[in-house]
Amino acid sequence: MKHSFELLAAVIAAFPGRKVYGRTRLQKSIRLLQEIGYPTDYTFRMHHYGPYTDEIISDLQILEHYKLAKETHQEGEQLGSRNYYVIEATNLAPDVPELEPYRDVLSLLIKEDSTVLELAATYVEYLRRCDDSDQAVERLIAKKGSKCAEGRKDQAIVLATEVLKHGDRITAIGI
Amino acid sequence: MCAALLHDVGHGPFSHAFEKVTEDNHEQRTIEIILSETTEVNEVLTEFDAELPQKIVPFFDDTNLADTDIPPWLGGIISSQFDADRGDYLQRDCHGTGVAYGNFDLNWLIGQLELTDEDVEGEDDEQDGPSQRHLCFSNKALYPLEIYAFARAHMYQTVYFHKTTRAAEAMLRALFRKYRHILNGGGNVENVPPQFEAAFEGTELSLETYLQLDDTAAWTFFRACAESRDQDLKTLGSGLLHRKLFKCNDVTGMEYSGISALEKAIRATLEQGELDSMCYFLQYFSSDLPYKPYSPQRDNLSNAILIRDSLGKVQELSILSEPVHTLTKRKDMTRFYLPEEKRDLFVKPR
Repeated sequence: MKHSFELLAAVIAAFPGRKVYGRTRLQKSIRLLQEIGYPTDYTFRMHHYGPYTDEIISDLQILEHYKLAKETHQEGEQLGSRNYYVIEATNLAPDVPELEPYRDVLSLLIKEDSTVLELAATYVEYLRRCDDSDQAVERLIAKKGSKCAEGRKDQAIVLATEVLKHGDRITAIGI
Repeated sequence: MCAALLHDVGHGPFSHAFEKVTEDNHEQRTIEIILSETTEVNEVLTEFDAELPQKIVPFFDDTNLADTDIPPWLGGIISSQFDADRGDYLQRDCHGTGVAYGNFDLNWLIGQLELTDEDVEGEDDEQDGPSQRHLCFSNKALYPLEIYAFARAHMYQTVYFHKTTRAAEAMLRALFRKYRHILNGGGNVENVPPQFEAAFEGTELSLETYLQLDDTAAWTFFRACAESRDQDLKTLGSGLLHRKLFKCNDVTGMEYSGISALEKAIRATLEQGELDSMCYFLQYFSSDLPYKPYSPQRDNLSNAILIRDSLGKVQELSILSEPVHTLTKRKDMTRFYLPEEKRDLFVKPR
């Protein structure tokens, strides 16, 4: 059985250039992967940008300690744009076969716009807490407001549904 | 003051270790306890002021604190690098454990606080909006603040991260994990308090049941585990009950490849002996940043410790104090824990 920090390292290493741009992207990607059975065991809570866990931050510290990853703080390039973290896996990433069944889903997440990813993870979090999907959508709109505009809410629901379908397939194959 | 006193009231037994079991958010439980008309806490608060429960709730929901009229500096008293919680627990734990180095002059420090809207040295002058008021210490507080910063750092390194404290915590987590595994497999353990069983079953707990999850129930649970037929539960439960804690091997500083190989070898040996290695070989990683330097780009000003320099300018503590600056480097520890009789499985590589 792998430690959660090893599972996290494998996900970071699977991003293009072994780099994840933004803690939010990493948090939301892990939240969605965990939903469909990727064996991290993080406890997420609803935060400013949707589901979030301090446990990922703690695991990043372990990865830095073991020199498996490093995190750097970057200032936003344009005036008024937000600062962000870049998390980069080193070449020492642990061997984690557990990630294999989830690579297709991860490719979907990597391609996706960061805000849509945030909305999809938030929607999935609400699906867990609500009686039905309509209620989850209502709460998503109430929480995220204008971020849901310009079709992003619908894109997020499509993405979440696609991720959950992948999860069903992985379960059916019995991995 | 109510927010400061009540900020941890939502914790379950053994606080953060147990939080993982129920996946309950202790801040949410704190809010529930304060707002529910069925609790004594609510009764006391409403007796004083019917609106008081609603007034203090935003302190526990930092996602919404900015939308209220509560000034950030007031939020900083509840949660920051120098907050009411640290002022309380450092001194209390120092007294409780009998160590002297956790002490610092809290009353003097409180007496040196003032509210100011002056800019902090090094902060971006171009930022929009009116200056926010923040708490700031007078220059006379410099040395007591250094003592405070070192008191906190030393308490973490020697008390909170003590190898025995962490052995108990690692065993507690392993016990919870094993018990959940047994329940998930359809098994059962006799004499477990019903509220504990409910917590592990994953159903949402009512506030009434949650409040019954206290330390007494936890110790009853340990006894039930110690007396169970499952050998792993028995070892972990009786270990906690009778303070027969696993022994520590410090591997701090070893590289990942070495640690990983060592771990694999020990787990393989345990499993050859048909033991669940997740219950007998525990890895514990602790990390502490003794003092977090303030970064205007990243941090909220209300979280920083601000102090006037000898010229009266407002500075962040680690800029003014060289000793405190030495605390801005993270301290990590990695430890392996094994039962005493299995300790010889660990051979530290040369």
